[in-house]
Order: sequence, then C-alpha cells, then structure tokens
Amino acid sequence: MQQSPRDYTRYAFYVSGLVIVLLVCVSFVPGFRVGGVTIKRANILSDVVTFHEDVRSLLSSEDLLDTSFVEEFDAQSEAGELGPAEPADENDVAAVDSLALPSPAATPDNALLSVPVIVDTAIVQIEDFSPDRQMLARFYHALAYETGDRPVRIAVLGDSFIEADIITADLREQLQMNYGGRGVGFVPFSTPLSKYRGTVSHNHEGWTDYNLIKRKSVPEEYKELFFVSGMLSIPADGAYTQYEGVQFRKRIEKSGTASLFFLNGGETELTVAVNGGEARRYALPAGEEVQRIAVETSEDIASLRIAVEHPEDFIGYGVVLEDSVGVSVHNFSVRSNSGLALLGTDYGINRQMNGYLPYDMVILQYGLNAMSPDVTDYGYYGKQLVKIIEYVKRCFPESAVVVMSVGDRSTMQNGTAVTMPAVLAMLQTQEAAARACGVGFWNTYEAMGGDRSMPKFVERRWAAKDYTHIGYPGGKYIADQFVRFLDAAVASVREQDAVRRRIEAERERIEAERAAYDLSGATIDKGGDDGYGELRSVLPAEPVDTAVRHAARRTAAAADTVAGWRSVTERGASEPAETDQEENSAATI
Amino acid sequence: MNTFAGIVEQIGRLFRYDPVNPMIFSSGFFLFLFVGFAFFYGFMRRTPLLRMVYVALFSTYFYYKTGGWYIVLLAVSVSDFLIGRALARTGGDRARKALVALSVLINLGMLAYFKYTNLFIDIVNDAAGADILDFQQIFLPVGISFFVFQSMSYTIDIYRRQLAPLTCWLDYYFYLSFFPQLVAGPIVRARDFLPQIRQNPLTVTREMFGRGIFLVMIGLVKKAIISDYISVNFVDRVFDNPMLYSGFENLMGVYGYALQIYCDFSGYSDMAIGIALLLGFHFPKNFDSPYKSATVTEFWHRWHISLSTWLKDYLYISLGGNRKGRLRTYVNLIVTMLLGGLWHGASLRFMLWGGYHGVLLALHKGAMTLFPRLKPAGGQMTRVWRAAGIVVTFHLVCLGWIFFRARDVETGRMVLEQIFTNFDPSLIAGVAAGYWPVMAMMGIGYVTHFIPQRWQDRVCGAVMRTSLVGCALLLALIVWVVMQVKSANIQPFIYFQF
Repeated sequence: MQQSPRDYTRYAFYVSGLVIVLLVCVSFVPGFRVGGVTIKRANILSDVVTFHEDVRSLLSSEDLLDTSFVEEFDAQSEAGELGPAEPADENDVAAVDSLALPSPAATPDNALLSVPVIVDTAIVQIEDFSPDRQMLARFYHALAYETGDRPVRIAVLGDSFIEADIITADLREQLQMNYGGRGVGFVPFSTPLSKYRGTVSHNHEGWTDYNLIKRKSVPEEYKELFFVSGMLSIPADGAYTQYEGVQFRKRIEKSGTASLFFLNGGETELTVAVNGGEARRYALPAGEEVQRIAVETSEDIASLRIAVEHPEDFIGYGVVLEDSVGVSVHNFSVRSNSGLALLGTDYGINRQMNGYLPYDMVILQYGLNAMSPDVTDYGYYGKQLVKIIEYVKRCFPESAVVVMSVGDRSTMQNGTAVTMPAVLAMLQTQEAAARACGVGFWNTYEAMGGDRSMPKFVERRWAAKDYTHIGYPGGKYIADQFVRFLDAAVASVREQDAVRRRIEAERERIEAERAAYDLSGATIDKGGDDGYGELRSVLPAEPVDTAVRHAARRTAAAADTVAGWRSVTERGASEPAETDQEENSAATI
Repeated sequence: MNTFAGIVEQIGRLFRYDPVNPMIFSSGFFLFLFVGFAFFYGFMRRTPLLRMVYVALFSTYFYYKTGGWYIVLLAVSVSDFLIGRALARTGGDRARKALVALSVLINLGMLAYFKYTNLFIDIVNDAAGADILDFQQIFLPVGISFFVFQSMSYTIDIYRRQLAPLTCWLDYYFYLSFFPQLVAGPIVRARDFLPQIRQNPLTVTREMFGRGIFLVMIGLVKKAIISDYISVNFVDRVFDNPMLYSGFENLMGVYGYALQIYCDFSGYSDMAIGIALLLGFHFPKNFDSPYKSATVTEFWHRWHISLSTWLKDYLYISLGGNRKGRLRTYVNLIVTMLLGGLWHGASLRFMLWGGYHGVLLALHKGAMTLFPRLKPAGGQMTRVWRAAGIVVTFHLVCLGWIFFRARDVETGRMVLEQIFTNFDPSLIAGVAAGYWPVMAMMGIGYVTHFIPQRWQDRVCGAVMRTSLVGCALLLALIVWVVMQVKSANIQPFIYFQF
C-alpha cells in the first residue's frame, strides 16, 4: 500500500488554537507607554470580558501646550501692563454703550434681574456661576428687550472646532430669526481661510496676514497689536478685499451697516464701494488708537469692496457687517489655539475694540488643543484657563463670559469609537475654571448627546472621520441646543418680568389707594381666618360707599400675593427685612 | 462588570447577526469560530459526505453572520442547479438557449433588483426632472455580486458543453456557499472547484499549510493594518474635503487610496485563498502585484484576475470578442468594462470608471495595431521602457481611482484642481512629519508591492519552513498589531495649508 504524504489538515486547528491561547495571555497585559508610543491592552476577549483600565495620566498637560504665551503674559501681568485686576473703569471705554445694562453693584437694592427658571431637563443650560447669577441675567435681558441703538453682540472665541463659521453660522441664523438683525458679523480683511467660510463670499489680494498662533514669527512691530480675532492684515499698495453676502444661511445676504476697524500710522487712503456703486474715498488720519470707518449708506449692503492706496503703517483687523438692531454673532476662530494664545492679544486693543463693539456675551470655545488621549490630568491647563477667563473679563467687562466646553471626542477601542477619557477630565477642568472665575459654563459634550455621541455624528456625516471635528450639520445641532436654551431663558425672564410688572402695578395702586384713605385710626380684627378678617372690622374714618369697600378687599388680597411672591423670589439678606416690614406696616394699621 | 450571566448573554449575542458589525475574516470572533470549526473538520478527511454537510452548514451560518439573509443564496443554488440539470437533458439549441437565458435572467434579475433598483429610480427621476418614483428600502445581500457570477459561470459552462452538470444539489450548494470565497471572492469557476469537493482523503500538504498561513498573515497585514489605518487616518479625510488640503496632500491621498483599495481587496482575497488552502482547497490567484503593470492591458491581467477573466469569458466573448472586426472589438471592450465598472457598485461613477478603463484598453489595443513595436506587457519591454510604462500606467490607474473613490464628479475635479493648481511643495516636509505613521505605512505598502516576486517567494518559503509554534507566534504577533491599529487613536486633522 502506497504511503500517503503527511497530512496537515489538523494544523489549522492547532495553529488557530495556539494563537488564541497566546492572545488570551496577552489580554492580561495592561496598556503601557514605551518610547513615546502608547501601547494599549489588546483584549481578544473584549466582546465578552472587559478589564478595568487604569486611566492614569501618562503625560502632563503642560507638555502639550505652547507655554510661551503664559510666560510673557505672567511677566506683563506682574508689570501691571494688562489693565486693572478688577473690572475696568467704564470711562476708559472709547464709546459710551447704550445697551449695556447697569452692573448689579450700580443698581439700588432689590433690583436684581430675574434669572431664568427652566424645568425642562432636556435643555442643556448655561450654568451661571456669577454672584446672584446676574452676569448672564444681564445678557438674557438684553436679548429679551430691544433697548439701545446697537445689536446684542456675541463673540465666539474658539479653535478649529468652529473654524469656517461652524456652529456660529447656525447660532447667528437662529438668533437673528428669533430676535432680529442681519449680517455675518466680523470678517477679517484677509485670511487664508476665506475660501472655506461658507457664510460670506470673500476675495482679497495684496495682503500679508499674521496669525496670532504663530506670534513668535510675527515681526516685532506687530506682535503687540493683536485683537482676539487673531489675524492682522497688512496691505501692499493696491491691495483690495471684497465681501459679498451669500444665501448659505438666512439673513446674511445683506446688512444695514458696515464698519471697518484698523490702525493707521500714516497717510493711507481707502476707497470703499457699496453694492458695486461709486467708490467713496477716505483719507485716514494718523493715530495710535484703533480707528473705525462706519460706511455711510442709505441702502442695504450686499457687497463691499475696499481698496487700499499707498498704505503707511496700516494694520487691518476686519469689517463688521451687521444691523443696528437684533443680534450680531462674531466668529473669532484661531486654529490650534488652546486658549492660551488669547493671552498674547493686546489689552489696549481689545478694550478699544470693545469700546466700538461692546460685546454682551463672549463665548470661549477651547480645550481640544490642550487635550491628548494620554492625559487625564489637566491641572496645569485649568490654572491657565482661569488666567484666560480673567483676562477676557478684564478686556470685555460688560460682557457675560461663557465657557463652552469640549464636545465628545472618540478614541478607538478594539475597532469601536468610544469617548476618550480625556474628554471627561477636560470637562471637569473647564467647569471648575468657570466656577472659580464666576462665569457661565455650557456643556457641549452633554448637548451633543454625551457618551459616545461623536460616533453618531460621524455616522450621520455631521462630523469628520477624525472623530474630533464637526461639520456644518454637527454645528447646527449644537447651535440648536444652545439657542433652545437661550429661547427658554428669554421666555422665562420675560414671563417673570411680566408677573413682576403686574405685581408692581398692583402694589402702586394699593399704595395709591392707601394714600387716599386715612386708616390711621382703624383697629384690626386679627381673628378672621379667611384672609379678609383684618379689613372686615376696619372702620373707615369717613363713610365710604360699597364699591370702595370692595376695592379695599381686592387690594388686601393683592398685597398678600405680593408678600408671598417676594418671599419666594427674593432671597438672601433682604428676605427677613421684607417680612418684618410687612408685619410692621400691618401693626401700624 | 463581568458577571457570569452577563458573559453568557454576551456570548449568546455574539453568535447572532449584528448588522453594525458584520463578521469578516479579521474579526476577533471569526478566530474563535474557526478554531471550533477546524477541530471537527480535522476528523472528516475520509468522510466526504459528512464533510460536505458540515462545511455547507458552517458556510450558511457564516453567511448569516456576515449578511443576515441567506435565503437568496439558497434560491440561487436551487434554480441554477435545476437549470443545469435541464440543460444536460435538453438537446435542442433553442431550448438550451432559452434555459441559459432563463438562468442569466434570474441571476442578473436578482442582482439588478437588489443592487440597482435605486440607481434606476435615480436615473428615471433625474431624466423626468421630478421625483416620480420613490427610493426603495432594499436590503443588499452580502456577496451577491460574487456568487451570482459564480453561479452563472456554472450554467453557461454547461451550455457551452465545457462542464458536466452535477447530480447532487449538495455539491452545488457547497460550491456556491464555500465560506472562504463567499462574500468577497475570488470568483471561483465551477470547473476549477467542483473536482475538489469530494477529495478522499482530503489532503493538506506541508506546502499548502505553509502557504495558507503566509497568505492569511499577509492578508491581515494588508487589509487590517495598512488599508484600514491609512483610510481612517488620511485618505478618507482628503476625499471628504479635498479643498481643505494642498495639492501635495491630495496627491498623497490619491496614492494612498490606490494602495488602500489594493490592500483591502487583495488582502481579503489572500485571506480567502489562505483559509481555503488550510482546508485543502486551491483557489486561483486573484491579484498579482497589479501596480507593476507597464500597460493598462497588463494591469487587467494582474488586477482582480478572477473578475477580469470572468468578464472576458462570459461577457466580452459573448459579445463577439475580437472576432467581428476591429471597431467592434473596441466597442466590445468598452461595453465589457462599462458593465464591469457597474458591477463594482450601483453608481454612474463606477460605470464611468469602467468606461474609462475600457477606453484605455481600446486605445492600447489600437496603438499596438498601429505601432507593432508596442508590447502588451512589461515583461517584453526593455528596462527603461518598462519603468516608464509602469509610472505612466500607475498614474492612469490613479486617475481612474480618483473618480472611483470621490463621492461625485465634482469632488474628483476638486482633487485634480488642488493637485495641478495648488501643489505647494513647501508643505512636503511638514506633511511627512505630521503624518509620519501614515506615510511610513504607505512606504512599506509600496516597497513590498514592488519588490521582486522571488523575494516574496523567499519569505513565503521561510514561513513554510517555520515550525507550528513559530507560525502561531508570528500570526499572534500580527493579530496583536492588528488589534493595536484598531485601538490606535485616530490622528486628528492637521491642516498644513496655512
């Protein structure tokens, strides 16, 4: 019988069995870091058995950041070059703001603005950590009531997450739809990103632009001139920039006003043409302060062309296209900025710009660029964030500052995208910094849907496949959540104020009626338990007809309501005083 | 946490079909499934019938785990088996033609319904300028394009009297459902495969085992390491938004995609061929270092060989091939490639891609007629001509890939616009440094692609000589790397353009 060759059929089992044994052993080896590379636990049994992963920080958050901004800032801060530590004096603001509501300190007692009460738990709220929650209350009131002769302005300072007007495009559209206003807001004179911003058609030529994030390589003469926009545009002779409204979102095709912001140290001439019409020539005065040209036109501005002739020490910031009413949302994104670069912006410039463009809310959207999958301790970043927030508060003292947290970001675990542990650590850091500084905090992560929401965004093509950056549709979703809260807050504030006004009116009437009768000689029967007893036994000093008696009953009921309502809404030291006062006045009667 | 009940429930869930994570060869669960399968398979060398039933049942389960819906597979196997039997019993030419037409109609009808209904609706709506038809929710059975073609090759071969029909349905079902090639090919011909089914005793030689393991390893490296990594971390983002990247990055994206699609497709084929070898079955080679081609004609002899030969044998030749004059030959070539393009997916851009290759093939054929010194393949050229041919062919193929990958023609145009108008060589160093893992992976991919065949054979020989434990260690190491890649942090976007 012929010997058949050796057969290896069973080897398929042997080899795959051995591989499994080896990999099961390897599954027990936890993740580690070697030579700058992170090796994760490779768990072949991950579908069935999970291991508790120790999420210790493999790196310090300091290692990730460009700390040069901090060092310079700290040096200037010590030298007192960055303005007062306390909110700056109103007088050093170039223009008087017609809209900014008085700060609580400047208002009489009991004039605290009502704060929103929202019971819908599906709404992600801005937590206001300011004293008496008045910082954001001022903003809600500005939004709720059209006052003054300027729009309610929101500046969104952020990184590549909001680049190209992502989130802000929809935030702007929705707020303008709800509260009025038109226009795309701030647009720099020149930027390499102009092609990617869908909300304005922007063409320019002949400019050299300097980016705040690359401040180290910016020529010395420009280094100290950055506004929070993060972009300086230096024109060559004949440089031009042209803006045209688009229909990418509603209400940005036209605007009622256009203003140009720049520094000019020589005899630069600008020509500005509105809607393709005749160009108007401006001979600019030389000066050291930020200058503004408010383009004078009676028609709506659909396009604007600005040309620069023989520029001399001209440094352009940008153009603001907005209405004189409603809402104006300005996007200031600086790619790769962890927020630290804001410390490299100039205090004086920021103050001057805020004088021209008082902001009612400044949103700080940072964190992604300070985050690393290997870092779960953001203590260092947290300390710097406090500095950043305090600096922003000093630059924009009338503004409500809101820290918009990082959203969800994924890391891969056995081929599945899961929330990076660093996200939760960063959220806590950001919230703690907002709390420490007494500003607002909005949880973007929660608004996106919380744990593992980023993979859902990617699946719907709302976010990019790096599981980090969102696109316009993802931005719209986040903006929807933000506006949903603002709408609810405004509705709540309006409702409370309406009640308050009604009660105030009632109170005034009671006071007037009380004044009309001299009740000083009346005695009071306190035995009645129907709430009207005290008035039943009142004997008028002079006979009155029944109608007056009925009116007196009504006012007493109203007075009770007032007392009850106030004891609910007014808290703190004023409460017992109020109650005493009521009792005293009753006793006097 | 890990409670016993939780683990049992999780295991139960693992055995069910999960539409979010359908099983593929590089899934961890497949390894466990395979070890169980291989254990019993080893005892069935001399029991062909039992082995056939066992493999067929396992294949059906495998199909369920990868696609969920296995009724289609059964339906195709029954109808073509019966038509095959009828063809053998029928003598009349017209009746035979009618039968083979019925088979083609059923197969293509199913393919058309499942795969192309919505494309058809889209075209009709576009032509009408209104939504006169509603898009349908149709579940696309996984691998249908492959097994439908396999099944057609069976009936057409019987019609052409090149193959005797099977007498037992189980053989036919075994052929159609054999799990290594079921979902992504290679498209195995009935006449190559059927004789292997009833081997007795079934034999896996040392050479088959070694080569099988080598192919599984190389397939894993290509599919689950190179292809998956570069797609997620580089290629996808460039094609998602080409305008955000410089011309250089776009070009790298295109080169990356060329490597990705090759590694993805050929890697999966390698694993299929390797697993089949471990089970004692020989499949034909499906990819033969296609980017080494010096002409487009050669490319199609090296790229997805089982498909291109199928198209040649059953479509090009059925259309008349080169027997009806020169012009008709060119038309046949273009039509064959147009339909071949459509086979790749239900979109006009795949048809355009196929048509583009058809035109290239026709041009090359025409040029060879006009200039007899031109050669059909690089092997017959001088070194310099061959090198030049490889570079030109590679770039022509890449041009095709741009429109194959881009979601629409406009995106493809943007990729080209960036490459030709915004190349920005100053960014090369930055991109290379920022995306070094991706670039390194691409470098490894292309270098190993272009090394001479005999070097690859040497590596394969070394694996063959390695002991069982050595093989297991090597394979475990590769699986471990695959797992690391699957768990690697996704590289966030880096914008170099500014």
